[in-house]
Amino acid sequence: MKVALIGQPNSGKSLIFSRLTGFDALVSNYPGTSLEIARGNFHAGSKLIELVDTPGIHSLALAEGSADVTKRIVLCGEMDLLLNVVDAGNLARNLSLTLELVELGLPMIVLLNQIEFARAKSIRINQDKLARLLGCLVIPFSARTGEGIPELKEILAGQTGQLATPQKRRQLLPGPESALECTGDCYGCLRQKTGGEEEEVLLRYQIARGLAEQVIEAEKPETQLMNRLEYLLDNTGWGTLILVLLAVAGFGLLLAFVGWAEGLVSSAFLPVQSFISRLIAGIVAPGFWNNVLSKGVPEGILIPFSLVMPAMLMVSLIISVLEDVGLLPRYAVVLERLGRVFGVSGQAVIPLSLGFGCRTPAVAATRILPGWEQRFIIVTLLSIVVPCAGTIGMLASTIAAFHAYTAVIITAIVTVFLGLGWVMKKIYGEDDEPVYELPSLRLPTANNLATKIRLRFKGFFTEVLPLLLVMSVGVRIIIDSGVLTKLKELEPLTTFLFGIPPEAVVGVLVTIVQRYLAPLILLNLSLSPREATIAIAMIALSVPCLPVMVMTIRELGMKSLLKIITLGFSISFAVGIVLNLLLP
Amino acid sequence: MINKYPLTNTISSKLALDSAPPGTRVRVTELPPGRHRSGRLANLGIGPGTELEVLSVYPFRGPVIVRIDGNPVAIGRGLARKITVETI
Repeated sequence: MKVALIGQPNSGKSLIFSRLTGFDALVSNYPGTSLEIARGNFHAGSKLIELVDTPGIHSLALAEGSADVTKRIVLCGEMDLLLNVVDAGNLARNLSLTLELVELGLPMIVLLNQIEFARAKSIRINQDKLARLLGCLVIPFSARTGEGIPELKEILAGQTGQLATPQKRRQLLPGPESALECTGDCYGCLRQKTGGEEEEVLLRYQIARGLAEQVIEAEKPETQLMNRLEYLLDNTGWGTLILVLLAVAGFGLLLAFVGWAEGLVSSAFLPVQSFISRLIAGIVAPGFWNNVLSKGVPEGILIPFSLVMPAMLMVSLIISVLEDVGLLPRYAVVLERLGRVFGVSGQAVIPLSLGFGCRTPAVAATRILPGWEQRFIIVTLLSIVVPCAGTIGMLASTIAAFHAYTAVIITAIVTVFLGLGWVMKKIYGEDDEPVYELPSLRLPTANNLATKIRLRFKGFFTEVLPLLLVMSVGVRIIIDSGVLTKLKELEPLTTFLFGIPPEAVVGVLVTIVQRYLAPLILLNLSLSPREATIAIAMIALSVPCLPVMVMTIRELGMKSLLKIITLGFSISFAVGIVLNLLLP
Repeated sequence: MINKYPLTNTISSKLALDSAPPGTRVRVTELPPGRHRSGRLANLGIGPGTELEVLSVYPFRGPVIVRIDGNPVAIGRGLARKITVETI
């Protein structure tokens, strides 16, 4: 049996999906977390249920962007049952989609989700009345507490196909998607009279508000702590102040943790390192390979744990908390004005801040932005400027190792960010004004935080650790085989242009594989602080790594990626030349 | 109740959404032309006749936050300026 979760953005579909199927779905507190469908299975009694999680949708009639996928799933007729997820604390808004689904006459069950939050707000919903008015089953539900799951499974196990079908089909949505017959008083006919889907959607909202009023029996004025906080946050002065202070605190926490953890991990790994080194030296016959492996392997194991892991963990934690509390869209509001300077919506803060964790999902997250132009601007900034958690760790350690000028590097990054953004606005910017919802503030649950950190950290063992290990050995081979000495012929050129030795330029070129691998080359060279500063700045502002490239092709196409790569290398070399001219 | 904004209290006085003072309740009378824009507003239930509560207006041409159906929604200033409302 095929079942789809359909609901408005941020109504909690993904949490229900992971709760039922046991699959990890990324769950956050902002509209538009899920941009693609997810599929999973679970058993209801002896019946196998195929569950599909869909991106949130406000209405089928005005579906655009990722909502288009949802529209296709609803209308393709492949689903045996729709589970309409309704945020119980936000009934008026959510019921408009429910009404639209009811009009389609598809088998459907309404899940009054997040019922525990609605109860906390003292919202009492007469579910029997709602069920009667809608003509389909209504189940109070909570993916967090598990309420309603046994009832749902029981119904699914015994479902015959008739039970959940809405009986009222008086208002149908005719058109190419639906072969159902119209009775003359439907929204589609209204649309023909008034001339637009908008009127249709607005009318449905109006009916939904009336419906909500009829079934909500009690609603106390909101006096909860969270609501007061929300009022404070949506206040222009206090809100901005709180958000800025939080950002500063988060950044400070990240730096402090990375510094503290690096020392701790390094000293803890010292015996392990020397053990591995001695072990390899003992096994492999003395000579080239002995030298390469006994140095490269321990380094390749230590560096990911001491330099990359702490940054990855802390950034995942901070971003996950911001997401779950519902603060990211608030940052978008405060930064809306600043975003205009770059020709983008303040919503760009969501993909940009995700990029500090890992840029690959961040590129996908640009889908919440309206329009291709805005997405291209942000993907370019993400690819060239924003350092991911792995990169931050590696850069910080390289800066420390060579006593490079941190202020110069940060200034270079910020300057390129502002300059590139401004130029891109001139070329691609458009005056498309944003409209977006702000989610209710929620306390994050330890469970969800743990899941998200685990999801975000998964790449460490599957990607970061093996890559750095292989690369570390590779760098050793390059150094010990003497290939780099042949590059010495290029020395006059690279010193004239960038003021750095040719080996360091190899580091810059390595960014095309993976940016956090590049500093590895530098760590094996002896560089002056000036040389290191230039090389690190060139590495920090370069082309995106392979996974980001693949994602960019998927999201924006090959042409966009080629533009970004060209821009990346140009900027990297330009930064090198400019710093070489400016630095004493 | 003392009216802090006497100028806006004339019956059915029309004004742009971004000049409505925070805390007032307004009714949308007119949306800007352009299907793309009004479509996105309609998707959030905002259209002619909809009642909104203005929560805050961010300075330096920042967005306007309104409450609709109990939910805060951010509307870019350029768009908010083109939405005509009347105070209730």
